[in-house]
Amino acid sequence: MKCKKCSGTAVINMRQHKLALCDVHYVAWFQGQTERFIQKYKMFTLDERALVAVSGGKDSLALWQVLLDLGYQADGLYIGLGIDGGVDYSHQSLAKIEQFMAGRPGAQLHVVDIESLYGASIPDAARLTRRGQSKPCSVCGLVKRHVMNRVARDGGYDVLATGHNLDDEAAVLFGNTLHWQVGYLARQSPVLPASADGLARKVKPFFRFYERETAAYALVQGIDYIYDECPYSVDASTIRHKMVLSELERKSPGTKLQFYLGFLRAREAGAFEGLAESRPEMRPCRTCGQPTTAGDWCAFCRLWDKV
Amino acid sequence: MTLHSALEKCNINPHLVLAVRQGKVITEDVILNDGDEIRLVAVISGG
Repeated sequence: MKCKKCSGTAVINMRQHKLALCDVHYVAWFQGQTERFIQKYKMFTLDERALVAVSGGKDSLALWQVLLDLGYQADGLYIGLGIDGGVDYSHQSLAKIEQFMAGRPGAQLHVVDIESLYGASIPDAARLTRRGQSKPCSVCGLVKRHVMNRVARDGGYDVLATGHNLDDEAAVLFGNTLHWQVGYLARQSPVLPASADGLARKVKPFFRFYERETAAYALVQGIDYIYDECPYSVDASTIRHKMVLSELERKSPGTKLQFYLGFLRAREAGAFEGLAESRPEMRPCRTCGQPTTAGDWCAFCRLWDKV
Repeated sequence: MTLHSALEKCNINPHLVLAVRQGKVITEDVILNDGDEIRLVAVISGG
């Protein structure tokens, strides 16, 4: 297959766009699209400081690289979760990030090691509390949201960027639709504005890229990311939903993109207005000061009180 | 046989993998030769 731009050998064929590109033109297209999405959805500007949540996986490392290449002020944040899973998962993840940074002098990384800071790894915290007896994913999500917001706020960052791609977003949308979780549907968005009570602005610059495209970008650019999955993600519902949607995509190219963009248009047109319960008032947590809807003591601090 | 045919034969959804031959990502229409070593990279992650 030939590149549509130069007739060189294509490395990717994006059937939903009817576009095949060689490695050079794919990198240029990918970076250009990222820039376009950031501007179109008013995510952030070159004058603002972005904190990029990096896990060592393909999406977050690719995002960090693209933002740096585009000239954005982008620092990284790695949260050490203390997950082993027989593959030394967390250490391997951090090693990939350090390797990435070795080729990026000047890139700044914040490292928050949960066990050192709070006294227990995520799997241990899950075991010791009622939250997440069978799997630590709920505890992991809670801790990551708290730490990301704290580091963004304390570091004076304007925006928190994550590497969520279209497959991630479509899978979440699919799950929320299956269970008619209208509150979640009303809030799902590639841009969540900052709140006056202390929640950082959150953006997903890759939300229109298929996961296959972010992986291709990482491979073409030679980004050495962690291939292993989090050992706790086995049989996760998100992965099951991704498989279902990819099967639909196989028969009808563009299904995932249409599903998610159609949702955004419906949401923009007010399809979910009045369906979601209004968010309870946020108050500062008496222990950590971060905003919480759970009275005056946030779920994060309550969790660690039980550990 | 093309990469696409080989994936279909193995019942692998082409949307779930990228194929790498001699360090280069290849598209599904590429004809595979005897002795080719193809590395399949899973693209789906998450949880």
